[in-house]
Amino acid sequence: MDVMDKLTVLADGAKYDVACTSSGANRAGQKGVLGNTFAAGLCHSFAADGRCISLLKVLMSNNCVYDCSYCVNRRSNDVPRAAFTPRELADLVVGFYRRNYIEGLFLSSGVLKNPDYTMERMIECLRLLREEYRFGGYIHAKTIPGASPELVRRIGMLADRISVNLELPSEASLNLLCPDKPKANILAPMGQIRDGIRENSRDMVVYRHAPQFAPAGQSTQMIIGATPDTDFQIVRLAESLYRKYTLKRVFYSAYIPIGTSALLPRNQPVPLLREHRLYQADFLIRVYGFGAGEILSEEAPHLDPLLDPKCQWALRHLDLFPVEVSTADHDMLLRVPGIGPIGAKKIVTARRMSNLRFEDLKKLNIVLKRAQYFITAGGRYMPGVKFEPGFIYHNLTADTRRAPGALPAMTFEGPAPEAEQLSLFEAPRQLALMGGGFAV
Amino acid sequence: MSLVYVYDGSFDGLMTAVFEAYARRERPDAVAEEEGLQVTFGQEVAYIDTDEAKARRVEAGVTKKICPEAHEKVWKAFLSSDRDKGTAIYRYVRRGLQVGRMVVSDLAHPDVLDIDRICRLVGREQHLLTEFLRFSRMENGVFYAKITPEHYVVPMMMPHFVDRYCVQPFLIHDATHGLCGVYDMKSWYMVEAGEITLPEESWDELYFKRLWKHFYETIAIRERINPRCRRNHMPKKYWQNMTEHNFVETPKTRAMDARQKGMVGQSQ
Repeated sequence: MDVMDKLTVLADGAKYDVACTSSGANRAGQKGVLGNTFAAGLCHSFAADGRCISLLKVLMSNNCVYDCSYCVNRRSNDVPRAAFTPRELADLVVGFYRRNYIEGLFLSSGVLKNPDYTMERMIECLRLLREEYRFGGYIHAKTIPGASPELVRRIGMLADRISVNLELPSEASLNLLCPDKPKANILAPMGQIRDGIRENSRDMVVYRHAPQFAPAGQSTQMIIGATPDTDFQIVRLAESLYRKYTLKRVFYSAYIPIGTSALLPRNQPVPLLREHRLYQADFLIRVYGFGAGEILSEEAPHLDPLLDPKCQWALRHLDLFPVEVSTADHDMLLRVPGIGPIGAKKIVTARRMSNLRFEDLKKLNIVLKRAQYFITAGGRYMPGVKFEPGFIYHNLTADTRRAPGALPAMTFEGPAPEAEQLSLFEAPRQLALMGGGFAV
Repeated sequence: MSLVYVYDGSFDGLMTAVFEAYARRERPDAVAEEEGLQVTFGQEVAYIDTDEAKARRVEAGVTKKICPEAHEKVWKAFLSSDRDKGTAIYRYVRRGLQVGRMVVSDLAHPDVLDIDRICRLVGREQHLLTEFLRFSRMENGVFYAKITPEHYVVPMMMPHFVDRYCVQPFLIHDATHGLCGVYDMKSWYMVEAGEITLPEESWDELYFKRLWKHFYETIAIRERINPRCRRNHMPKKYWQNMTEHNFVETPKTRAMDARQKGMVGQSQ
């Protein structure tokens, strides 16, 4: 098998991994070193599905001793198998990087023999890149659940970002679909990485040239829609991952039917809209200062397909609106639907110099499509806008209601007996006890 | 009668025009480039002779009396190929000298809006090309990239690539404007280059081009094909110079591939 065939097999096996960001680390170039990293990240291309290609996303090997039913690389799946040697992969990364095709490497792997053996091969490839080829670009490495802490430490010294996949949003779902990966094997390395980063940031204060442990932090991902977990559970889980494990990002991946297991939902349309709404909720938590409890509740545990979560929140809290753009503080502006971090900053800057009318907001490229219902400018409403919940709701949802077929089912339609047993009774109790599907 | 200042198209020329407006106590309605100038009825035209000393005085004044950020904006706007950039820059400097550094935060003022719009377009193209530019390795070890930008973005892109690729000599060729950014492993500079004669591509170039195109096609999830989303992020006008879009197999490339099979593995 030549490198071309291997690349086909191993990129194909990696493509369902969601994260492909190259952000979070800023490292200037150095004499004799190939490459640097750029804090905001760069996307070098966009695939036919519209997803950004920033890193060379491949598996070290797609051989796997596990049999997780949602995964394309599971032991029982009949697909061609391949493995890179560490040097083959390192050559490929450097060749691509020098041509400005990529920002770096995103390396994951199926479990070859056992977790430790797999990690050692990944580490060997990263070591070659960093030490022999003096590669200074971005590296994102996945740790393998169950690998020894010493190996996690070593890979963290070589990579910019490391991640452990949570795979599914609750322990019950995990036990059901990937029995080989106990919860502890996922959370233990997550905790270790967090502590490693913390300790390292202390070292950095004392010794300026202390080697850096995962300078771009850690992230995780989970599959949405393969199990009956509610949006509320997922959002709560994400919130606690951000708070307790100080994750940089949580990625969500709408389930694509690639497995044939009886445990999985069949013939279900890919709930892309649900994934989209979850990302919106995630941004509200991470960037906009919302709490999970403000977005959803146990009584209303699902995100509305018609309306984005920020609009939903605003409609539930109309008593806080309308907001006057010339006086409202920055945090309140950020809570207005349609105004984001850039818009809020522009308004705060521009209003120091002059009064802002609706025309001025338009000139500043503030999109008023949603914001117009929730703001006043110079004490006036937008002409033609009525400040009534019914009117606002009707107008905000007009586009989504008109688009035919735009609303796939957002709720779970999986195999009935086991799903019911888990979702209706298990889930809320877990939540109350643990603050999410997991004890995090 | 409206007054038009005409400069020679250089940055110093434009700065001299700004200087003259103050020296002559005039308020030109437009500041235009000499090339492609169209004088309409009722316009009075004044040709400005570029004077480096005057230009330096204006530049220093912008940095000191307004702020360094304003200077950067003026420079960035100058790299635009917008026909009205001269006027926009002159008005912005005039406004800045009136109100000082506050001008950069007066986002809703018409003179500021204008230059911000121009800068945004230049910045966007610079950013996208930093991502989408593709190098090919030449026989002599130099990495060559051709781009066809709308604006004069190469001088702004060079520092990024010099920092990143300090271990390889490279050349970024702006084919639209006939300019080249050159890095020779010591420093970088710009040269004018209408036509370039290129050496042959390095023997491993085809290998990596093919691998990259293959990777690009494999990584997309078939169930989620979304051409509109892709076009939004990566406008089609950039595709012409991108390996994943412009590389096609021909009998010649296949024959070369067969010859090279044995050599790969020692390459980078």
